[in-house]
Amino acid sequence: MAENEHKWTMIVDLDKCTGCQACVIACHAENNVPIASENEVIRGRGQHWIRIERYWEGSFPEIQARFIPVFCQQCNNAPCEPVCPTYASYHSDEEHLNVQVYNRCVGTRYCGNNCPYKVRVFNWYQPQWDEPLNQQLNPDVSVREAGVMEKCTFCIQRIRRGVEAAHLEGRDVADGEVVPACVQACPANVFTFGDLYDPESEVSKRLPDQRQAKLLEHLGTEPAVYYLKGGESHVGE
Amino acid sequence: MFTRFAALLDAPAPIRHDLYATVSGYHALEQAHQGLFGRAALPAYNLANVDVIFSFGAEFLGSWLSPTGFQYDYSLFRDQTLGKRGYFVQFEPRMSNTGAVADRWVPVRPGAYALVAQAIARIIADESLGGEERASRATSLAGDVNLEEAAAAAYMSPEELVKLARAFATAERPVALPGGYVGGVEAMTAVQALNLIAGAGGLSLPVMPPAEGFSVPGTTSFADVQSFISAMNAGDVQVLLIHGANPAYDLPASAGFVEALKNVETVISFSPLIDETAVYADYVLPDRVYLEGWGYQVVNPTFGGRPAVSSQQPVVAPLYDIRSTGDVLLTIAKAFSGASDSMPWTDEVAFIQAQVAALPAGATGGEDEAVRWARFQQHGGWWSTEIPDQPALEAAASTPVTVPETSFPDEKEYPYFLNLYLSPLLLDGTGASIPWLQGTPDPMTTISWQTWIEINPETADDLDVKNGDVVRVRSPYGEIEALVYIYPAIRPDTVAIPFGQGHRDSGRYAKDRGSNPVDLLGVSDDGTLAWSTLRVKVESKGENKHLAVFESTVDHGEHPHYPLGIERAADPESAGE
Amino acid sequence: MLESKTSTGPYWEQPAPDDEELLHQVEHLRDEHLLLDPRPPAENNALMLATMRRTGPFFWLMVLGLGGFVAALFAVWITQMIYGLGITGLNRSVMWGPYIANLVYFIGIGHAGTFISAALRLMRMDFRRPIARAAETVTLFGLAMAALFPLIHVGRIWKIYYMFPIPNMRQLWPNWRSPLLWDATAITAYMLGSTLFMFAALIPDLAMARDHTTGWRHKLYGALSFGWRGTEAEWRRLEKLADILCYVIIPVMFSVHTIVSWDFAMAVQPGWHSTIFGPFFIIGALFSGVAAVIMCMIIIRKAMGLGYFIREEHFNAMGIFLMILSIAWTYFYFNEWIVTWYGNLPAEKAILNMLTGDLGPFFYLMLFANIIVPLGTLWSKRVRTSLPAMFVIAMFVQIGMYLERILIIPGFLSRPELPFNWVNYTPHWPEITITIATFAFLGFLYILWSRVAPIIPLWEVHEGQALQTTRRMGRAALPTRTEGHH
Repeated sequence: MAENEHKWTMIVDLDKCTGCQACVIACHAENNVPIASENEVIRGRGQHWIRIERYWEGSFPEIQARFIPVFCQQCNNAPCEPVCPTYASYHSDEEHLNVQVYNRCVGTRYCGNNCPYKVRVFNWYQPQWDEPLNQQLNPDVSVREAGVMEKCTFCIQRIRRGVEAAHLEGRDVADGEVVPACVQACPANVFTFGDLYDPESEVSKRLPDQRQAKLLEHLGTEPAVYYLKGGESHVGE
Repeated sequence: MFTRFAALLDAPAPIRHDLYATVSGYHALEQAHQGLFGRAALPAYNLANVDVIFSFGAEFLGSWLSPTGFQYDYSLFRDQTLGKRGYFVQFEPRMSNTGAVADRWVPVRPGAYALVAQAIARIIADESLGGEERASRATSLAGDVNLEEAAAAAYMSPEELVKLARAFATAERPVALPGGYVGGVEAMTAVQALNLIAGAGGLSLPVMPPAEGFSVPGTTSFADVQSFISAMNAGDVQVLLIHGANPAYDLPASAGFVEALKNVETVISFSPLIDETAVYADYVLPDRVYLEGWGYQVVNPTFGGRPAVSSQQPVVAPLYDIRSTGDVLLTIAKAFSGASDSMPWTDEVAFIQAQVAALPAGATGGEDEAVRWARFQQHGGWWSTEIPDQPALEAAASTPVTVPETSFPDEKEYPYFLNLYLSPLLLDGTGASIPWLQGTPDPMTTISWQTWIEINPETADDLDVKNGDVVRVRSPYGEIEALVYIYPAIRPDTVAIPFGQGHRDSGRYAKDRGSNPVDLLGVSDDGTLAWSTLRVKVESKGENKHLAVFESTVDHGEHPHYPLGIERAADPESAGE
Repeated sequence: MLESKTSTGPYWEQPAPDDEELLHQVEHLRDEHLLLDPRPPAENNALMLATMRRTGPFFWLMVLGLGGFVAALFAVWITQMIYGLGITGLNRSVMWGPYIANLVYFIGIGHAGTFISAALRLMRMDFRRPIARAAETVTLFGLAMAALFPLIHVGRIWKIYYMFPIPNMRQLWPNWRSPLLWDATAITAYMLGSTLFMFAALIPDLAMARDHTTGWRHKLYGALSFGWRGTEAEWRRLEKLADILCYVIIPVMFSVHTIVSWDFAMAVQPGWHSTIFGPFFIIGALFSGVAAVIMCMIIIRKAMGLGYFIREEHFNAMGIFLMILSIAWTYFYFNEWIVTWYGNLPAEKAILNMLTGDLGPFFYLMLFANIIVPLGTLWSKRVRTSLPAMFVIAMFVQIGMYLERILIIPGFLSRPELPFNWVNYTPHWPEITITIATFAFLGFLYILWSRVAPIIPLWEVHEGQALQTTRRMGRAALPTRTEGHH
C-alpha cells in the first residue's frame, strides 16, 4: 500500500434511515445535479446521484416499508470500468474510487447498462438552470453537458480538498475531516464515511459488524459501501 | 419586531397563522397542556433516552415539531443507548414516513386516537401493569372505555392491544407522542396522560424563553383568525401588513379571507415572491430570502431540553436591490413619536445584536458583548451550557379523560375518511416554490411535482381505479382533482392527500401545479376549521395521466426478490419481554 | 449434348438429343436448372445491361420515396444531436434501445451474403452462382446501415474520435478491454473483407459493362475494372484471390456476430450474461440474413425481370436453408431458456416473467414468426417454390428476428437487479422514425446499386454453365459437372 493511498468507505445504517431525502437534496446542491422536470420523471428519467429505494414488506395491515439509500457503490471490481471504450470510467488507485471523467465520455452508456445498481445517470438533455438559479452552482464541481454519463463520486472534490490541505500541513488527512454532502446532511447519522486503511478511523472500528451486508454481493463487485441491515424489535408478539 | 411595531402604533397584536401550525395541531397541543399541566407550551421530548415510543399520528420524523432534532434522537434510540434497540409503535390511519420505520404500524381509525390511548391506560389500570405507581396513576387517569371497540378501531384483536399496553407499561422509559390533530384537545390530552402514567420520563414542558425579548408568542387559533377576518369585513382594518404568511392560499375559501381583503384600504405584502396573497396587495415590499437576510430563530421548544437560539446571516449578496422587512419597519417607525424608546435601532442588524447582547453566557462563551456577538455568528447560534432542570410534570387535575365523540360527515354520501398530511418536502406549500423540493421524490410514494391521492388496493378495486387515474375528491365544502396512487399502507376506509401543491401563484415552479387540498376544507357549524374530521367521496373522471413516480412502475409480482434480504435479522436484545 | 465429348461448338449451342424421351428429360432439366440452360453470353450481357439502364417512373418514384425516408433519418438524427437523446424513449434503466437492436439486426442480415457466396463457394455449391451478388449487396449495405447506429446511439457524436486508436494530444488510447472496441474492430474488418471480396468478383462484370457502354458509365466502369482484359493469367489471379478471401472472410464472419453478442454476454445484466450467446447470435444472424436475401431475390426478380437467372431451384434451396436455420435457432433459444428457467435465479426469473407477461404479445409473436411459420410451411416444396409464400415467410422471420433483438436489448434491460428500477420501455418517435428510415435507406442504396452494378454475377453464371452439362446414362439424362481450374 502506497503511503498516500486511501480506501474511502461508506457505512449505511439502514436501521436509522427514515427516508427523509435530506441526502438526496444535499447531493443535488453539492454536485450540481440537475432537477428532472415532471415530464422527465414520467419518462423514467429521475436524475439523482443518490436515491432512496422504498420497498414494501408484507401486506395490509401487517405491512412495513423499508428504505435503502442507493448510490455509486465505488466497487473495487466495478463492472462499469472495463466496458468503457474511452476510459471515462476508470479506477483511481489513489483513492480506491471509481472515477468518471466527464470530458472523456462519448456517451455509449455501456457503463450504465453494466451497473447492476443502476446508479449511473445520463444527461439526456443539456442541463438547464433557470436564471438566477445558475448562481447556486458549486464552483468545485464541473457542470456536465448533454450526452455525458455522471454518478456519485463520494464528493471527490471534498476528498481532494481535505487530502491536499492535510498534505500542505505535512500530515495525512484525519478521520472525519472529509465528509461527503449526504453524510453531512443526514440528521439521523445513517452514514459513516472514512478511510478503511486508517485503523483508527470510525469505519475501521465499526467493521466488521454483525449486521453488515453488501448490496448484490453475489455479483462479486466488491463495493466500498457496507450496509448495516435493519434490526427488529418484538414485544410479546 | 412586528409585535413591537404594532405596540408602537397602538395596533392589535399580530395574528400568527399558517397552515403548518394548524395541521400540526400546535394550538390544540398547547390547550391540552393548559388543561393537563396548567401551562400552555409546546412539549419537548427526549427520544434519545427512551426505550419505547408510542406515537399517535405524530409525524415526528417528517414534519412534527422538530423533525431534524427528532431524527437525531431517533438514531440514538436505535443506537441502543439503553442497551436495547428500542420499540416504536406508530398509530395512524395512513403510514407516514415516520410510521414506515416503526417496529409496529397500527392502522388506527381516524378520530380514534383518544379511544386507543385511553384503552391502553385502562388496560394498565385494570391489569396493574408496570408497577404500583404506574398502575395507580393509570387508575386515576383512565376513563371508561370499551376495549373491544378500541381494538377494532386499531385494526387488531383485544389480546394484541393488551400486549401493546403491557409493552408500554413495563418499559423502562416509555414515551407517548400526541401528533395528529384528529380528535383535538381530548386526543392529545389522552396521549399525554400516558406520559403521566409512565412517569413522564421523555416529556418535558421547557420553560421559555432563554432571555428577555425572546418570548415565543403562542400560536393563534382559527377562531382568532376568523374574528380578524370579521374585523376586516367590518372595515376595522385600514392597513394590513402580511409577512411570512399566505392566507389566500392556505385558508379555505369559505373563511372569506380574500373577500375580506377588499374591505381593507391598504394591503402591504412583504412576500419575496408573488404568492396568492401578494397578488391582492396594494404594495409589495419584498423581504430578503433567508439566504440573503439577517435573522434569528428561537428553537421552540428547546433542543433536547436545552434552550437555543439559532442565528441567520447572509450567505449571498442580495440578488435584487431590496430592503429587508426589519429595516422597512424601523424606517417607518422613525416617523412616530416614541420610536426612540421602543424601536431605537438604526437597522435590523443592530436590533439582532442588541437581542444577542441580552442573552446569558452560553456554550460558545465570550467575555464581552462583541465576542459573544462574533461567536453567535461563528457558531450559528447560541445555546445554554446546561440543560436547566425542568419542573416535574404534575397533572393539574387527575380526572379521567373523556373520549369525545368525533362527528364526521355522513358516511353514505362521503364514504371515505380524509387524511390530509403535510408533505415532508413541501410541508404546507411553503416549499413548493423551490425546485429542489419539487423535484425530490416523496419518501413513501416517490412522486414529485404532483398532487396524488393514496388509496388502499382493496378500495381501488371497489372504485375501479388504477395508478394515475384522475379522480374527483369531494368533501362537503369543495372538491379537487388528484391522481390515484395505490398505497398498500392505508386503511381501506381512508384516503390520504398531501398538502403542498395547487398554487395559483408563488413562482414558476409552484404555479398551476397539482391541487390544493385546502379547497376541501371549510368552516364547520361550530366555527372551527374542519380539516381533520372530513369524509370525502371519490369519483373517477375516466381519464388517466402518468404519475411522476421515481420508483418502478412495474408490478413486482407475487414473490418479489428484494435486495439485502429485506426480511430483517432479529435483534436478540430487543426491548420488552 | 449427350454425346458431347466429341462436340466442338460453344457450350450454349449443343445439339438436341434425337431420342424423344431423352429430349423431354433434357428439356425438363433445362427448365429447372439455370446452369443447364445456357444462352449465349452476349444475350445475357445485353439483358443485364438493359435492366441496369431501365429507369421508369416507378423506379424514380421509389428513389424519391425512399430518399425521403433517408432525408428524414438525417433530419431526426440532427434534431437528436441538437436537443439531446432525451427526445427518445430511453430512460434511466433502459439506456440501450432500438438503436443497438438495429445495429445487431443489420449486422445480422449482413451475414447471409458472405455465407452464401463464400461458404457455398468453398463447398462448390453451384446453385449460389446467380444469387451471390444480390446476397453480398445485402451484406454490404446491411453493414453500412449497422455502422450508422453506434454513431446515432452515442451521446456525444462530436467526440466519437475518442474511440479511434489514433495518436492524440490526450495521450490516451482506447480501452481494449471494452467489448465495444472489439466490436468496432470486428465490424471494420468484416466490412473491409466483404467489400474487397465483392469488388474482386465484380471486376470481370464491370469490364464487360465497360465494353458495352458509353459516357459516364463507360468512364466509371473503365476506372473500376482496372484494365481487366480477361486473360488466362487474370482469371487465375482472380480465382486465387477469391479463394483466399473466402478462407479469410468466413472466420471473420463467425467472429463478428460472436463479438456483437459479447457486447451483451460480457455484461452482468441478467439475461445477457450467457455463454451460449455467441453461436446463438450467429445462427440468428444467418436466419434473418437468409430471409432478407430471399426477399431481395424476389424483389429483383420481379422488378428487374430476372426470371431467367433466379429460378425456383434457388428459392427451393434457400427455403431448405431457412428451415434448417429455423430448427437451429429454435434449439438455441430453447437451450437458452430451459437452463435459465431451471436455474431459477431471481433476476432472470423476473425476465422470464416479463417475457410471458408484460412483453407477452411480442414474445409469442416472435416464437410464432421464428418457429411455427417457417417449420410449419417450409417442409413443402410447393411452398418453397412459391414466391408469394416465400416472401411472406421471410417477412415473418424478419419480424421475429427483429423482435428477438428488441426483447434482448430494451426488453431485458427493463428488469435490472434491483426491482425499484424496473420499467417498461416504450419507443418514441425518433427511434421509430430512424428505424423505419433505415430500412428505407437500405432499399434506397440497393435500388441505386442495382442500376449501377450488374446484380447478377454474369461471369460466374457463364462459368457454371460452361462447366455443367447433361450426360446420358443409359436411358436417363443426368446433370454432370466438369471440374474447373481451381
